[in-house]
Order: sequence, then structure tokens, then C-alpha cells
Amino acid sequence: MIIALIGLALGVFLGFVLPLDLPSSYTSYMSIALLAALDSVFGGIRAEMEGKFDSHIFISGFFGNIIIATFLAYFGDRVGIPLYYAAIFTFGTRLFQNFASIRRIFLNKIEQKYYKH
Amino acid sequence: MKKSFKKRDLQIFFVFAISGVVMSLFFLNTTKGSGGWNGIVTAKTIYSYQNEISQLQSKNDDLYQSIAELEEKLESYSVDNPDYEALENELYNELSKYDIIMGNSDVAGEGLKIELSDSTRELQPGENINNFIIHNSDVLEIINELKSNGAEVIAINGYRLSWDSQIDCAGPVIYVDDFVAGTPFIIEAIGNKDRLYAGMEAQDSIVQLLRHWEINVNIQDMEEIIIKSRDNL
Repeated sequence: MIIALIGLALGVFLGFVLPLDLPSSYTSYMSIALLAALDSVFGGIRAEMEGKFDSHIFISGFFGNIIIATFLAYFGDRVGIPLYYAAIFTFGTRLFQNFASIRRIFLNKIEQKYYKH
Repeated sequence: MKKSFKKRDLQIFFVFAISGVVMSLFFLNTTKGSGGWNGIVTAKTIYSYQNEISQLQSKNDDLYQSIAELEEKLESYSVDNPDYEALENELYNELSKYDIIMGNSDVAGEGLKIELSDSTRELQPGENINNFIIHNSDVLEIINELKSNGAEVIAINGYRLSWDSQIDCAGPVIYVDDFVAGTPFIIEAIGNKDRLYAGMEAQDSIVQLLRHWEINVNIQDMEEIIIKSRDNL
């Protein structure tokens, strides 16, 4: 958990410091990629809490989701069909589901801790 | 066991670092610039902007072309040694031309002199006197015929007609603008006298109609007629 927070902090710092310029025409793909990344992160947290975390699944899911989501958005733009809606719906719904599971597990833990004694 | 634990930590670390970079980049890009953030740029808006740009570029090209043309024109105007005398002459000619059109200067030249006076025949019973006197419409038609036959300057009883003159009936006399003209009307017209004369004496001209009603029409072609401007009346 600590290591995750450190990584996040370092990433944010690097993002602000590094002179990376993102063309504004790519912001739509960037937002989809960000959504996919967040979904993977929440999925990972949930799996960790449920005790069935697998780093290979986590890593492959993270990069695979980002690539597929970005490709869908790009392809949709080329073809003229808003395919990125598929990514938004899927990842958005899953993100909330993951958060719901995390919440339940978390609350269960607290309950066990304080009401057992 | 320890090694795999470390590897797992490293992977998590990298994933979160990448997420952080993506997030911060996104926020940086959405907050920079003076125009502020106005939504994610989709392919559609990019396409419309590209259209607009290409339109503006073609417009720009047109404008550049017109600049080049105007500069060429300007160059043709700027002669090294301008002939000021000729320029002055040209301007003076133009000025006198406009003076003639506006009626500000006296004009002389060959032309036609038409005298109109009412019929002197005694009326028979049952005849209408209106048929034997000159009306403003008769004068107007003569003027129009003169103009269509190439008259350049026309005067009625010495009053110079200009481009906006009007002829009105005022009982026994006629109004030309504010000038009162009575019989006999003397219409002077400067122009090609032969052409004017032929036009006046043509088979179905207004003059022939007036002569039918025994109105006295006397047409003279003159070598020189002087029509004064209104200022010199």
C-alpha cells in the first residue's frame, strides 16, 4: 500500500516536472487511457483485499486495457462511430462495482475489529 | 519467495507511477493555456477546424494575390519623371467636362434653334382650344427627342437644362425647375446640327404632330449657339 502511494506520488511529480507536451488532439485518447488505468488500479486493490491478487493479471490487465481502450477510441474516430463509449461504459461501471466491493470488504474488516470484543 | 514479493512490489510501483504520470499530464494539459479548458477535442471538431483553416488559407492566398496586383498598379502609376503639364491639362479637361455636365460654364457650338408658338388660326365652332396651344408635355417630348438624337446641351428660353431638370405645367406658361417660360418657346440645343435637324424633321416626330395642329414650329440650324450657364443668366 505504501509502495503504491509512493509510486503514485512519484508519477504525479514526474508528470508535472517532465516537459512532456501532449497535443490537444490526443486528449480524448488520453482520457480513455486514464479511465482504463483507474479501472485496473481499482480492480487490483479489490483483488488485493479479497486476497486473490495476481500481479501478472494485474499488469497485463493494466496495459491491455489501456491499449485496447485507446485503440477503440482512435478507431472510432477514424471510422466515425463513437466506439469509445464502449470503453467508457465498461470501465466506468466496473470502476464503481470495484469500489462497491472495496467498500464492503473494508467495512466488514472494521466491523470485525470493533464489534468482536 | 522474497524475490517474487519484491518483483510484485516493483510492478505495483510501476503501474501506479504510470497512472500518476498519465493523470498529472492530463491535468496539466487541461489547465494550461489562456483560453481555458473547453472540452475534449474530438475528431469532429478537429475536422471542422481543419476546414476553417483551409478556407482561411485560400482567402489569404486571394488577398496576397490582390496585394500583388495593387502593388503592380501602384508601380505603374509612379513614373520617374511625371509630365506635370500634361497631368494638369488632363485634370483641367476633366474639370471642364464636369462643368458642362453640371451646367456651371458657358457652352458654345453648332446646333439647332427651335421656335414654338401657339396656333394663330381662328377657332371654328366645336374645336377645342387645347389642341392648338403648346403644353408642357409637348416641350418635354421635344426635349427628349433632342436628347435621343444626340443633343449635348439644351436651353429653354435661355434657361440651361441640367441633368435633373423638370418641366411642369403652370397654366399659360411652363415651369422649368423654378424658371418660368412662356410662349414663344425658344429651344436651343447644341450637338451635331445635321443629325438633330434630321431627327426633328423625321416622318413621325413630335414636330410633325405639332404642325398638324397648326402650331408654329420653326427649326433653324445654326453654326454657333451660345448657351450660358445658370450663374450667368
